[in-house]
Amino acid sequence: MSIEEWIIAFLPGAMRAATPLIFAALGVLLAERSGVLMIGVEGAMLLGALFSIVVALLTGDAWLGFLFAGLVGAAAGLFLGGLTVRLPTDQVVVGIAFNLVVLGLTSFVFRLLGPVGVYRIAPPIPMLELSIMGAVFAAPPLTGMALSLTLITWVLLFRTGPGLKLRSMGERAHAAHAAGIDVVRSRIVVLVLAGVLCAFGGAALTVGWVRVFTENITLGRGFIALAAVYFGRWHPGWALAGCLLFGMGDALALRLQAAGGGGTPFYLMTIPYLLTLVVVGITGKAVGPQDAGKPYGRG
Amino acid sequence: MKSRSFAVRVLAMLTILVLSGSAVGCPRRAAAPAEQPAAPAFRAAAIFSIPDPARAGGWDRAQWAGLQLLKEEHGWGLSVAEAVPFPDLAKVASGYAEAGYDVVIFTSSAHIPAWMEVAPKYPDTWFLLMSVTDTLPASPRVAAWRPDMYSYGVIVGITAAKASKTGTIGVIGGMPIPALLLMFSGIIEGARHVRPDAEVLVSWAGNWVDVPTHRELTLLHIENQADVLFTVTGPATAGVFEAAEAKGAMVIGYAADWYDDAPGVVLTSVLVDTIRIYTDLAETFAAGLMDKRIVYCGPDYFTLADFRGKLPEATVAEIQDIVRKIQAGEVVIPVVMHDIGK
Amino acid sequence: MRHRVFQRILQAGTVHRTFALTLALLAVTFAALAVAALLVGSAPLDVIRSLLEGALQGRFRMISTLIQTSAVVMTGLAVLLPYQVGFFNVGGQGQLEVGALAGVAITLAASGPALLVIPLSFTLAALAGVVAVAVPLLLRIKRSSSEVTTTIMMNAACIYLVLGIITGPLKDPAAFYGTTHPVPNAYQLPVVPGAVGLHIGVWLVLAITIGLHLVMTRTVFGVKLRAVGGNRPAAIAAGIPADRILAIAVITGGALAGLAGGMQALGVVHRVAEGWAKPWGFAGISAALLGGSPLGVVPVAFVFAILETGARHMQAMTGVPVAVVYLLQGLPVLTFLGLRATRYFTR
Repeated sequence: MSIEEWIIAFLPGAMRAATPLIFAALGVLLAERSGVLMIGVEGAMLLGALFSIVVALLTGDAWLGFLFAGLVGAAAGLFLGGLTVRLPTDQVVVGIAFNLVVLGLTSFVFRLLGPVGVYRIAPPIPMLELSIMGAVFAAPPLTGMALSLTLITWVLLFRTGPGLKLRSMGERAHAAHAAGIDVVRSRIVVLVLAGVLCAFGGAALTVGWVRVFTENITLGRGFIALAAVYFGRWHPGWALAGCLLFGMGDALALRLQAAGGGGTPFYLMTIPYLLTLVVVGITGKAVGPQDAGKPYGRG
Repeated sequence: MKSRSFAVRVLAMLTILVLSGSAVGCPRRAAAPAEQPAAPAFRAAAIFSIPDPARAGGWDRAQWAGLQLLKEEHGWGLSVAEAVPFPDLAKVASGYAEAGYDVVIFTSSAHIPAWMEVAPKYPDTWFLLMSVTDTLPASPRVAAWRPDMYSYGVIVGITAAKASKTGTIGVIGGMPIPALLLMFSGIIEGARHVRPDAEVLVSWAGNWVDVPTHRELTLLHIENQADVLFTVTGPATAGVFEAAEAKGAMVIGYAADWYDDAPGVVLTSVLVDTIRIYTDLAETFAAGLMDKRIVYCGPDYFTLADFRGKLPEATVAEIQDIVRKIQAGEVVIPVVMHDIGK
Repeated sequence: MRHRVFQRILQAGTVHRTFALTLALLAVTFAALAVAALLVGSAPLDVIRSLLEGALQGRFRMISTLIQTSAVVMTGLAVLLPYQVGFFNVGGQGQLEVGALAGVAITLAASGPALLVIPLSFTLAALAGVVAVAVPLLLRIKRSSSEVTTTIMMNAACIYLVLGIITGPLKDPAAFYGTTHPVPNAYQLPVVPGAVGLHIGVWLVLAITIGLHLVMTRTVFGVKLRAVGGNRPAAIAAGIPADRILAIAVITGGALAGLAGGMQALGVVHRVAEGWAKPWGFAGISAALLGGSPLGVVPVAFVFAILETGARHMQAMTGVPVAVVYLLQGLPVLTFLGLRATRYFTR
């Protein structure tokens, strides 16, 4: 295989691996910029992964499945928002417990689907990569959508009034409150958005990529998205770079494996996390929205 | 006042819970594997390391079918432990022995260390293995049904090479375990027997569960000209189907008939006759003739499922003819091991 | 007037509130299980009974459950102690796994009396846990990086590193999956006394728990710990070396998690292998949160252990899939957090 051919085969593989990560990373980024940790990203992805494929199967339309995943993600965001922002409770523990609950729930629901389950989902759904939007973005539509959303997120965060408010909530919640922002309500709205994006990430994995669901299909990809956000220091552009980098690493590792020279794939899987730790170590103090993780109470 | 708001919240939580449960909105399935009927002839326990063996990859599903036979035809009591992680096997098997089960069945070659470890501790319990082994644990009540994985591979290789237009066959394994090294070497030799220029691409996913990895590996095979695929892995089999469907390649099913899983791409399946194995098992136990043994399951245990018109009649007849000759011992493919374990 | 009287009763009624909370959590857990049972078509009571039987009926199962409890107690303490000073150690699972690998590796390499090798193995296991937590600790002290971020990253890195090593350099070549060689018989933890059937690790956990309880309630260090955790600037003003107290608490936490891994590996599983570890680290976070004190961690850990060990029996007997247990482990935590934040419990 010539170098050109290799690259032509390699890049789409890398983009496929990166696309779910980009959606999820944007969700995490929005939530954390507004001051709420989004540890529940893995769970939200898993929900999107399951419900998108189920609805796609029932309706025969992959896009409907994708949209429904967004709906489920919104509900998840609302639930997380209710617990961590409205009450408020500990964001980290809620995130971890939420991931566990969703892992159990999705595995169970998947099992209940019985014969509708695993392999049946595969055949009737047209690949998203082949639709008209693909030509518009000169990339698979979901990838195009993910890239556009990154741009939109950047503009929203850094070039608009609401974006400024959102960031101020993340940095100084009480100051934002004093400036007349309803922190609780705004954060819940942001979490709903974040839930939608994370669930889109899961849907991109199933209806956009492998077209099936299996137990725990996300397999830690939510945490890679988390790493990408921290790697990108909560900036959409750099988080995108992180996702692309990890996606390329994934595709490269696969090719090494297929060529029989990869050895055990697990060392490669530590790289996103170690790289992120190095970035955190080098860039130091300024990392992270100041108030991310702190429960905010009016009082 | 306060206590009422508390009670309200508890009630709300419970309501949400029940609602979220019923929102799943699924019809009840028929009674799940419930209590055994009164005083079964034997009580057997089967151990799987994958979830949902009834619908899992080939080997486990074929075992499942055999186990159902024990229960329904022969009146055995049956308990199935699924998704047991490898390091927990010994504990689960001991638990069954402690609970007084007559027969404990290990269903995978990954279970051999646990089989060797636990069987000697409970000499009154039968411990059976359904996999490749040359030795038995140090206990009076142990036996193994040992499939000839090499011959199995030969049959797959012959079928694949006959069906392939490009002459390239793509094989994806979960992990390079000895049984698969044997089988995949058999595929290479079988393919070359009917088509000397056949090329067999082998890759290992490194796990049995990650669907995207399996899908991408399959795509790589197809990019490299493979048009007939074969896989032995776990729940991630779905990824192989997906890639085959997306690119129009064919898949040969492993052990159980995979046609219903992906009717568009499944060419045929090379079946393992677990009905024969489990019938043999049940009858031997019923006659009180069970003893310490290894039962060799040769090529006559492996049969081709219906091709359902995916290949021309003549080609199917050719394949069936060679398979028959191998089963009859008229054609012998010598065992050649290939260095494919990475 | 009535209102105030009522409030005073409530203030006095910590016990009642704890009781109500516990009841609510158990109700939620079993309600969820009952719904799951109905959905797969089994009788809820059968399912609940089989879960409890699988965890508690007979000596063999009871011992399994107690050993699981000891692991969750350790990971719970590994979260609890740093949490007192405001450091949320989310990476317990990774610390546990590297600890287990270090502990097993030395038993495979060493020769000598068990009296020497086992303590050495425990020490190395604890050290490995400390190393795994040291990076987040340093980044927190030197760079003010959020430890939640860094422990999550470190956690994933540790887990994959261990997987890499047990499928790579330390893999038992005869095994069918990624696993180390088994720990030699001589270095497997002895069961003392034989009649009870618990290995020495479990007793050590008991001692550690009581020890930590005493340290936190009866010593100056315990007071300083709470001072730093409660109001850091005030503690520093009072001359307490906050960073040092923080470091001690976090390092102890990492050591406990690593030691938990060493004990499970040497005492029960006798190897580190793919899928050997239960989600002890995550159960530990819940146990620390729900328990709230070293002694409080124990009953919560026991409930989690029941869910873990009973699940397999439940699945085998009733067909309710094991995955439901994840639901049962997460749901009470969410309920607890939700209820505790309500007005009744915050007063």
